[in-house]
Amino acid sequence: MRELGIRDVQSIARLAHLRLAPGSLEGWRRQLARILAAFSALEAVDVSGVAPTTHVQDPGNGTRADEPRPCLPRASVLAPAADSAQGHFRVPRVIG
Amino acid sequence: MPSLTHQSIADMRAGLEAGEFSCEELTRAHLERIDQVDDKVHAFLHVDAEGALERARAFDGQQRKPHGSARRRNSLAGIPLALKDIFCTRDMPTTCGSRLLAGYCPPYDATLVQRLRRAGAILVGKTNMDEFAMGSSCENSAFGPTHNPLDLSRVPGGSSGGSAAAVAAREIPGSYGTDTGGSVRQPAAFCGIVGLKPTYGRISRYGMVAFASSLDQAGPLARSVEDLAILLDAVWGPDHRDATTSSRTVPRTDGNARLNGLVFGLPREYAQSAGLQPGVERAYQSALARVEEAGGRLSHLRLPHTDLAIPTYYLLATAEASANLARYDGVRYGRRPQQPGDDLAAMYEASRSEGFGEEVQRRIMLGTFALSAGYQEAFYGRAQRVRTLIRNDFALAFQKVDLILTPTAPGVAFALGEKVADPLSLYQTDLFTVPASLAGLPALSLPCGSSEGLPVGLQIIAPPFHEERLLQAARGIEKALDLAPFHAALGG
Repeated sequence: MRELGIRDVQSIARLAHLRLAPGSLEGWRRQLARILAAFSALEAVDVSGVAPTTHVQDPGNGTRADEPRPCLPRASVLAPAADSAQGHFRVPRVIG
Repeated sequence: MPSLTHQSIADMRAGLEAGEFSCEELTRAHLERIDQVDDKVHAFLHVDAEGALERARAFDGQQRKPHGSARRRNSLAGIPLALKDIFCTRDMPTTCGSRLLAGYCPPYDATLVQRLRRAGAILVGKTNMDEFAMGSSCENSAFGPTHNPLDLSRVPGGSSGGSAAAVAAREIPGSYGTDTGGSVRQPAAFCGIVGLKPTYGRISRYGMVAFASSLDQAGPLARSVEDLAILLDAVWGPDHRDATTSSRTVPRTDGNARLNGLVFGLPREYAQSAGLQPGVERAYQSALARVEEAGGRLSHLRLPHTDLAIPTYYLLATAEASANLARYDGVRYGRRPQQPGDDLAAMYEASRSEGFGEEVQRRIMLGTFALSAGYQEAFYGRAQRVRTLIRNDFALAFQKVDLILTPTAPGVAFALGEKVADPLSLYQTDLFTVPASLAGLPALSLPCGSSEGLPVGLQIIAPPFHEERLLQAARGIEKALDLAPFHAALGG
């Protein structure tokens, strides 16, 4: 894999919704590149024909009868929110 | 009679049953111990003293009624316990050691918490942890580190460091943590107590804040294997609210010791690991000799993909974490800055950047990269395939042996601050615990000796769903070793 660049770090941060201080970008780049280089041992492993593990016990699909059940009261769900109004979560504008 | 904070859970149950002391006295003794020592240990993030005493008094009132004995049959009736601050509790805050969730009070209880309440446990408080369970030292908590009660200049291990330290310091007789890559076993080893990660799917994850969903598993911590089995019995079993819980019935752990005739596998890759400290190796070898003397058979074996476990684990766990932690955006719960920005995207960024600590941000970044377009198959997909190879190693090994014995960690508890500047070296300390996590296997750590005056943990790994065999063997090894308990450097 090619070496991670500053633009890669900026792109990852954007995808992760994280704001990194401009002065910290090179530090992040070096650190992530070092960790990924240490993980590159996986590249040399022959995994052809090996199925991926997505679940260790594979319990099958968990199903239940499609019947309504009680849910949490609206007020208790809204209580921990930073901002709410008229029974909804309130956020800054989405469209300008 | 030993002081109330020195007793085992089994003795506390018997004492309550016989009326030797009340639940209020038992609870008060532990709250006083917390008052005495927790300013040095910092195992707790929240102590609900009033609530605990109220529940204790209610328990005592029930006991005096003619049909009170029905209550006594509950496995944990009247026993004070603590929970890692990762389990949702409707009457106490749940912060996950994060600034982002400071003050958050969930509107519901985790299934594990519900079962403990039903079993009559007195929940005393919530314990410190690495933020969102990401760490191996309990230094990544936004609320300050926990100190190892055996040597206050050392870490207690992590991420369930507060849960382990509280038990070792006798602030509480038992607690629950979570183990994604060793977060119950390694702190148990560092603090000289016993900790169990059950088979993936044995304990419901409902209401347990998610870090890496294919790996996360709750587990108990205690001062003896007998107590550990009591704590396990109260919480495991299927749960319709977590589709990944196994529908297999759970055996009653009978608490019997068994070593004779069992074949224990000793993986060469662990014994030959470059990071293994000589003192830890000596304690491990000496424990093996005692196991053999007591009737266990030892057999060397290979787990050839062990050296790939760290990169595999850290790629999978961070990828899953990056998805799981996307929910922390300042909308439904958690911190939102005073100046959240002009639009929704700016608010997401501000909430997350100000709320998450550096290690959490690092892991989200790694995981986001491993799942990003063009890299997903090369990193995440490949790690999932190597995970299969690691599982296959164990499956082959368990055709020849009943259990596997390894050191729990390559070293003893390290100094606070020693590994803070080098995350990669901290990741390496998980070397012996992550393989069983990747394979979803039950694994337990119990003290097997000491090095530099600090405890060394012995890890016992069992085939899936063989907790009964695991606990019987652990009891047998505990008896064969007959170690004196480690004493906290706290007095009392």
